[in-house]
Amino acid sequence: MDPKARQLEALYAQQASGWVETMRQAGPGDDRRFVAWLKESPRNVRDFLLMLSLDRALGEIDARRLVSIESLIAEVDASPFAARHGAPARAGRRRWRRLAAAAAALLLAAGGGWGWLLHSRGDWQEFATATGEQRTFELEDGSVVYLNTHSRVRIRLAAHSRDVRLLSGEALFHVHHDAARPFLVSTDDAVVQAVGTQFDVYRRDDDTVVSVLEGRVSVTPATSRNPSGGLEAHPDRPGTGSTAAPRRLDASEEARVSHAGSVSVREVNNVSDIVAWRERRLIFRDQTLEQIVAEFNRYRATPIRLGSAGVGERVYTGVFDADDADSLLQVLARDAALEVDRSGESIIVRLR
Amino acid sequence: MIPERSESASSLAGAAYRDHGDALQRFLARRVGSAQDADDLAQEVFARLLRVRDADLVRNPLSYLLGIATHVVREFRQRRQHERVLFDSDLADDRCEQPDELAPASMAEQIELKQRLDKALKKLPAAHQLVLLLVKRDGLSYSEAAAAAGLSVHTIEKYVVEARARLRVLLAETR
Repeated sequence: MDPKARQLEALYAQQASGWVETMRQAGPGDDRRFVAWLKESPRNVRDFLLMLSLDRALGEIDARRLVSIESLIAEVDASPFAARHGAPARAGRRRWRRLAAAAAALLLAAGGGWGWLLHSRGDWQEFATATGEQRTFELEDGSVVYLNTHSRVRIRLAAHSRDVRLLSGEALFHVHHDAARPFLVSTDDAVVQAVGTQFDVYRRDDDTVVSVLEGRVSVTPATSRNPSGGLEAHPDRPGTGSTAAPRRLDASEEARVSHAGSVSVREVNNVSDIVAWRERRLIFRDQTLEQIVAEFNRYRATPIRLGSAGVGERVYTGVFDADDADSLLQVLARDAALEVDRSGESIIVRLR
Repeated sequence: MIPERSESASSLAGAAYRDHGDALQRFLARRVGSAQDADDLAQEVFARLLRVRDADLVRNPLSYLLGIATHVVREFRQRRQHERVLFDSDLADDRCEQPDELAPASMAEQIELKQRLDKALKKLPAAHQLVLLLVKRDGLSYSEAAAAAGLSVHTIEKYVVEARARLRVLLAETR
């Protein structure tokens, strides 16, 4: 294990060990924080289970009583570094928070781990989430990236630019203002440029959706981007073709950029809808079942399937829990035209 | 507030741990070092946790977590035994009659884990060793351990947390 990976392992072990202690004496607030921590990542689940298991095995440590308490006490007393009557528990709690922050910062620097930081290639760092997982990263420039389920980004912070390539999925960017270093997010379809703002980029199969929460960005279809505009910096996509004027996008506007380079802009009535995914809420307003199921399936290990022609064109409105397919199926069950088949491994919705 | 040992055993968390911990512990103890199976298990537990309503989960998070994990462990073992049936029917029969955890191989693994733990213990700083032995081996409460070691109760808690974390890392490295 390289030193950084080991340091990271140690921080996570410390965190999990701290939770074992906290859950011994947990109050309601602790429970909530514990659940939030578990839901951050399968890695936290693993570390906690392993730590509980280790804790239990410790009940039989040194069963033959070969180690003498007296000699240990003497050794501790003799050591000038032994902390006697240590810091109060409050400081301990704060320390946890600092440790957690340090762990988050280390993620940006370390290789290995569960897979958020997959690898660094040259100056590029790659981050990813598994199905159902959501992750937050703070970059060295102070910008924050929220990565949604099943997503992958590659990031490079250079002296004169900040380049982000959204390889799949969806990310929300809270860009720290730096006029000298434009913040560029690109997909196959579009390049979004910001200076200091908050916006969401969702790379879908057929297009890329850019939604602005705060401030202003400019959007350029990737097919018409001039190679000198910074795109050539991206390792797997050469710049092409002639230039098109960048389209300016203000707060609560949303642009859809197709593969072919067409841009359509619309007003978003409820800006909070854009970031609802961070609370794992899915909001649909008059959307087809095909779109709705596709959104649900981003979070699901076993997809919901549409079993007959025409069923995907039906239109629904509602707010759902991304992790709870039942919330959707209950709505569908009220539609007499539909039949929900849950007998097999995956759920199938078809017309009666 | 630092609980006494008897208090923690009667707490909600303690009960959940008692009810679900055994099967889980036997499964995971052998995997403290090698993480592949534990990773798969955690991935599955995580996926199921996400499906539990937050309100339910927050009411008793530890027992939910352990309950789900226990189910996943059981399924994992059944799958394993099934794989063995396809591979060697005699061995599979033995396995079915004999609970997995009593099988000689896993006994050996249990003993091996204990030996590794004892070895790792000796690599900890003296203060960490002292606190772990007082609390875990000798079963003292935190305040009893504090009195015995001449340390504050908070320091005892801090050292337990640190020592456990260090052991985890040491075990992963010595595998």
